[in-house]
Amino acid sequence: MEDKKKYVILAEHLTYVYEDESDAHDVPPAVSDVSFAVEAGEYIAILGHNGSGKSTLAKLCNMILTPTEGRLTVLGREVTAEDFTEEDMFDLRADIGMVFQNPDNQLVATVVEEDVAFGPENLGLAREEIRRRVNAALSAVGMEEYAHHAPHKLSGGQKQRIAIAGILAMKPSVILFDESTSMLDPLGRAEVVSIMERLNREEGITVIHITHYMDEAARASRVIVMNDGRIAFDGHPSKVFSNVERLHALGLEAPQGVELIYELKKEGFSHEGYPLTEAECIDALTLMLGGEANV
Amino acid sequence: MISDITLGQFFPGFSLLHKLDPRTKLIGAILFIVAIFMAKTPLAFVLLTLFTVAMILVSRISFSVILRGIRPVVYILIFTSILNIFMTKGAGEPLVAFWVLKIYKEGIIRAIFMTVRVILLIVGSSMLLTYTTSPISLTDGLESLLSPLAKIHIPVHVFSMMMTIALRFIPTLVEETDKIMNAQKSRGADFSSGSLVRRAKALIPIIVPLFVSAFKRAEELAVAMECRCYRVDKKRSKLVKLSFGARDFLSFAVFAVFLAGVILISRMSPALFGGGALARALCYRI
Repeated sequence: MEDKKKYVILAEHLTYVYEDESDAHDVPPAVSDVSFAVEAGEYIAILGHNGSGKSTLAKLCNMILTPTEGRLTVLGREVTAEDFTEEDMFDLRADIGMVFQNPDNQLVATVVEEDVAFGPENLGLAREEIRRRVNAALSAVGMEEYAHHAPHKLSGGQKQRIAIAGILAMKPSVILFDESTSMLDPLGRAEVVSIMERLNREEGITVIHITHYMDEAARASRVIVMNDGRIAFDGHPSKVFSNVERLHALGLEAPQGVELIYELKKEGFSHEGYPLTEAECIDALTLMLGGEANV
Repeated sequence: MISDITLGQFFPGFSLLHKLDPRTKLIGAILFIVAIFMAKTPLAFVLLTLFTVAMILVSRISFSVILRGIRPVVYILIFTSILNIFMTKGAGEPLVAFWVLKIYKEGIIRAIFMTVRVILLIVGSSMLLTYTTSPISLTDGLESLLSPLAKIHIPVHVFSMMMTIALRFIPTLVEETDKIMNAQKSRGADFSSGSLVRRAKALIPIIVPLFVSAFKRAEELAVAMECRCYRVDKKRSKLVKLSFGARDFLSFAVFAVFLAGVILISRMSPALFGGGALARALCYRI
């Protein structure tokens, strides 16, 4: 029991089957027999093609869905326990926020600051405390000057930043991003990812980022690859992305830099490991070219 | 073009009217409307008009905006005025008699009163409510005024949350309608020609996807709200607290005195003003 406390999320043999209303045939489980542990302060990317179960996994962690089988412990509380009530669930949810895919469908109010205040208002906090949290959350995402704007006039990236501020105002220790960047333009994506990284680095918030952009995943400190409801890989990005061929077999691509070096290696160039970032890729190429020149 | 639609029209500002508590303005608007219907004499209407002009000046909203607000009802006003002029039977001789049409003095006076009344009604209530009050504070004000109803188990809070969400999603859904219409148009749909039935039928391919997406949005929003710990049955706190200030009590007093004044003036006899021709005209009752 003691060592379970140090994990923010501990999944043991989790299985989830979506109920089939037609009842005609057996539905394969969306998540089957998945076990993993998340420690406080980690920055995890969950990858997988459509229908791999990555979103279901996130919804399980946030108690939107209840596991069909298995044991799930969130922030030291066993969610799947018999005596876990709805009241407990709402208590926990303030601590584990979730930012969704469509920025439009998660903003409630007609004024930005009212929307950010929505969560703290639900917690029944005192007015001064709400005000403090709203201001802090808006400045954390760099949107202070938009406090009195209408959300529908903002860009996708800005809306998503407001959604993040709305979660931050509840002071969670974990934030799940469920494909939060997939509907944004490249600029908006970059903004949101840099906010994620800063929150993880500076505020010590555990970030779990579900995405299908490999370049975003490469920036995490740990990557989990889902396939057919099971975990295919789990480890540091440099380790996971070195399995280029197996990733291809799962219908996934490695980050661009990895793919490039992989192709070059196939052509007979030699290089140790794979670059994750653009800068690392440039270094690798320079090294390779330098090697060529020396021969 | 259609993305500009808003409910009413709010002009942000920092005038006294903008700063008033929304509840003050709601009650003030009711008192003002009552005053309009209690006004019976030209003198009372002069008073009402002066009061409305004073409100416009205080709000610092330009007169051209106000005129634009009246424009949509001009045809209705003309139509009802004509009806009033021709259909009202007076006591004395008709002023003009032409074939079966007879115009009496009473008809003209009634038409003028009615027109002034409707214009004051529109300008007065939009000055107090839509022009100077943001939709969200209007909703807050309504919730607060109706909160006694919660005691008899009417879910006032739920209604106000519904209204807030509706206001939030109007622009989003309008934008979406625009997108769907453009998508259909690009595939050759025609919304602007043919018979009425045909045009109505052409709207079906817009309404169906719009509803499907609205339901999807509703579901996603519900999940997002739950994730932010929203519970219908739990007491929430509020970021912005409505509070009455000195200016609100003062405004209440002004509105109350004004209503009393209008009622009183409507009952005055011309004798009070010396009984002359002008006095008789100002105190003429319909």
